[in-house]
Amino acid sequence: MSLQLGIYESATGNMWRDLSGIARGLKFSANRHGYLSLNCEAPMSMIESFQVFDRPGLPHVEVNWNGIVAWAGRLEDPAVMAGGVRIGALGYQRAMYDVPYTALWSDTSVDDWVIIPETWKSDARPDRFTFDNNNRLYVTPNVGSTHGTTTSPKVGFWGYEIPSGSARQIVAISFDYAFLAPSNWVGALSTFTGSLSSPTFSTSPWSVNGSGALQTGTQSVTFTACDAVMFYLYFNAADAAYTPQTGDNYLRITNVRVKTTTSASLYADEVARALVSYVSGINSGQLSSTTALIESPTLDLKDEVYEDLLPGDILERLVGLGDNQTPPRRWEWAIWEKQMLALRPRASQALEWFVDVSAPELERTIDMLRNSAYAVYQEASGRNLRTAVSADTFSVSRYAITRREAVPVSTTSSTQATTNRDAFIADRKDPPPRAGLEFKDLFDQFGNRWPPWFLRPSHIVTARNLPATLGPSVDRIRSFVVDETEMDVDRNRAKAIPETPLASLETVVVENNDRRSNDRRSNDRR
Amino acid sequence: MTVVLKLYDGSTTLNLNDLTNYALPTDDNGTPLWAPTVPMLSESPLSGRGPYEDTIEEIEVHVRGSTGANALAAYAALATMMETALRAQKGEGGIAPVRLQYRPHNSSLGADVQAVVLGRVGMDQMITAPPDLNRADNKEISGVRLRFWVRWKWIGADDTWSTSSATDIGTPVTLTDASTPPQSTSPCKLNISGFNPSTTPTLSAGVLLVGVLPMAQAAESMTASKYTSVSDTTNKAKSGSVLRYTPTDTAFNLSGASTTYNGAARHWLVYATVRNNSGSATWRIRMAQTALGKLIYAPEVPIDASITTPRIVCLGVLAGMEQSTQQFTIKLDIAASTTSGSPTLDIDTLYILPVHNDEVSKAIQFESIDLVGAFSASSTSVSLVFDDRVLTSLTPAVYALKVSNSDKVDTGYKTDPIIFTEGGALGACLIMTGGNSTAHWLFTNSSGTVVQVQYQLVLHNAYISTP
Repeated sequence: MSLQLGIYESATGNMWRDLSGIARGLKFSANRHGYLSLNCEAPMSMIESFQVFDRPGLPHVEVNWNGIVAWAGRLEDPAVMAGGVRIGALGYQRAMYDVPYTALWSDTSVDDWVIIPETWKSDARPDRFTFDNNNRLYVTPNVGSTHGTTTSPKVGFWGYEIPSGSARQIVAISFDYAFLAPSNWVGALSTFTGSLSSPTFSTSPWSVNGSGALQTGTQSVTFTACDAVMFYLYFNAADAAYTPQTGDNYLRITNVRVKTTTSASLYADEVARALVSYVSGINSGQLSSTTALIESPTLDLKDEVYEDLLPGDILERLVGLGDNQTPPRRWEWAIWEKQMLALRPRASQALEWFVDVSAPELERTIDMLRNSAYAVYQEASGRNLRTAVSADTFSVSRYAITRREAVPVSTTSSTQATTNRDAFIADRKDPPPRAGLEFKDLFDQFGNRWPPWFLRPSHIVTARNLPATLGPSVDRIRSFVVDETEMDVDRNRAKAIPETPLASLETVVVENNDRRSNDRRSNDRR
Repeated sequence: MTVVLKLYDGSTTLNLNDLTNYALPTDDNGTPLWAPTVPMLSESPLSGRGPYEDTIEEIEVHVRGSTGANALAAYAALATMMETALRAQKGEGGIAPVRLQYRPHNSSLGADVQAVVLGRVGMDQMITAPPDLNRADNKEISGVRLRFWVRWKWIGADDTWSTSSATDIGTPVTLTDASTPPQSTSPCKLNISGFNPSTTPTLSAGVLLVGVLPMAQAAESMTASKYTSVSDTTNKAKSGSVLRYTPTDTAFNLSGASTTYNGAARHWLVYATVRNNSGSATWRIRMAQTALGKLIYAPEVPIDASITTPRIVCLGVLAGMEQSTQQFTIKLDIAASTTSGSPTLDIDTLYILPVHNDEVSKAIQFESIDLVGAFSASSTSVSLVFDDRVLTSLTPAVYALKVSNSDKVDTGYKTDPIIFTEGGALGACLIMTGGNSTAHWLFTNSSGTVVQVQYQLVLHNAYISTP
């Protein structure tokens, strides 16, 4: 009986109060993202109650057992009540919902490229060119227009810029090009600081001179961080009338990918590490800057642009994308001890437990079953594309039905879309039961009894006294992955909630929508 | 027949059976009609309240006086005592808990046992007078009812164990006592002496392992590929050397095995002293337990790059074995975040604590204490005290005690700091790093010598039913 409840000045600060001997009604919970909530009451004098209520800073609340953290979080909701104080604390996963984040990471869409007018750039002459971004960035001089550098160049620009307030700047771009133009014509790429409407030239990392023959190639260039990039076409000689037909000569850019990282591929762990740096940089007491627990899904993410999104929502999206395994694994993000963000395959840290259920509540429905799917993704112009249909044949045979989902994926990469499709099927091919299990003791495989709070979300629970069923080892009926736990300390009982709770079951559910200020991505193509 | 039943608030004692001001109801034979409830083991794992549940005591007492006014004064004294108990429970400053003192008829104990009056039951009144309080002859107010929660039933006389011999910090010791073991699991106060502001100006944060004797495993014996033994006597490595992990990749790699442990225990709690020699690389450590033909991994523990000096890390809990003849070994499975910069991770000692009963076997983490700031830099003996305070406060305390004048400075802690014992023997091991140099694996004084400490246990004999 050594579970200790204390309030500390901060997560690394000194102890302020030990409430173990006086706390009543202590309950704490956790979900897949870490410690969730803690509530209890403590008798105190009015003065002491207000000291708790009005204490400056954001105290740390922790339940500890022999150095092992059973629960930890921040004292968000103290309340003075008759006879004492009510402690309401929330886990440090909340830190990922404190400050919104805006940043470009990678973008393959051509939708976001704009034609630069002369009011933004004095040498722009868009009226002398024809442009289109129909799955490409295309610019061609108009027949009969005058081009050259007399007085000033007359240039056709396609421009792209980072979101306003982006935490990251562009450092790399890759593209395929096709350039057909006579000599003196130049196709090029330049980088700029400032916005597209008021750009300051930085560098010109790429250019190609016309030769009269079609020139093609693939480029991947890196450069000093900038806020905007422009592809452009111009005639680098004295002014002259352009007499060929419109379209006879052109600069065509395809498979463009703008990145704010020099990494060849963008993996979710790089974004996660940046989020850690961002959040801990603003609220150092709420999140550790250590990234030791962040693993890589090794799945290249082509289209990741975030505008005013909360880091927790970004992480939620990233873990849903799967990884490069076949079939793709489900991933999770969580903040447990020491306020460290963990990004890892779901249940990779799982321990296996056994419980004896006295009154199980189990309900199965195929409403959640999806054993077939195709992904809906986009081409560069934004038009929807669909992958081939994939199905889990065992599930189709077992349940004697095909239930298919169209999985929306925000990407132009068919590879990523296919991966997401397969990750979705892996997750839904066996319908998760609606269930709730309350128990007093956990048993390990040696039959040792453990305190019930050792059970965590992502652990695997097997009800020993339920009959075995057909299917894989985690068949989500007799044996399932825990999604939420709730510990009633006074009764020394814990509740394990699998991935889909009973409709009638009282569960601890934190609605993310209540906390988010904005819930959109910059290019919400669905 | 006599039974002792009193209320005591630290200065005033009300004898509920003195037959002058108070008397317990009796039967026709004069037998007092009251007996305490016997507490059962508590369902709640929350600490600070002992292994037994709080119980409700209902005491009916006749209040008397030579006059009605005297009887009313005695009644008022009871009411005041109940209010004091309630104020103490609320933590009002300067108010000690009210104790219920008891000794049954024919008890073999030479002194009263005590428990703490915790407060009211729900919204019930703690004291209720009979409806005829205001009758004409109220020199006897019969049937006054007291009703309240009681905790720490029952604490008897203290039993002070022999002081242990001086032992290096980080070395497990067995504290023994020749007295009769207590009737039930008993709270204790542990005094660890050997500190001095002039030689140990700051006590580092540390961990006290108590219970069944902890075991210290020299990590340098657990060599394997990528794991080597490296001498580090300069920094006071416990056995002179440390186990160094030098990664060639970022995958998990297993060390060699520890000593084989025999052991029935419910769990095995493992701490380690660890040093990250890189200011940038981070690590993940997980224990791998080989038992009954299986290799079982404990959850991984991250080691950040915040410091490059020794630190104390809780590696987690391993499953226990049912039989003492069932054996297991421990390996360390470590992964580095990078091999860039040739990072290494050193481990000096694994401290392994068998946990049968987590009231008795525990690891108490405590915060650092500035002795000079508290007591000035003059040479004076200071002890580190783990004080249960079960009868004097609602919370235990960990503090540095200036022996000469009993000045104290409290420090914070994690995990229940109340030490319990079932008697006979208690294992203890104080783990601290730093001291004269933060680079030291074991806590040193200003001479750079590992500090030696002595342990003295004061056991408060506990009874669930008084003999």
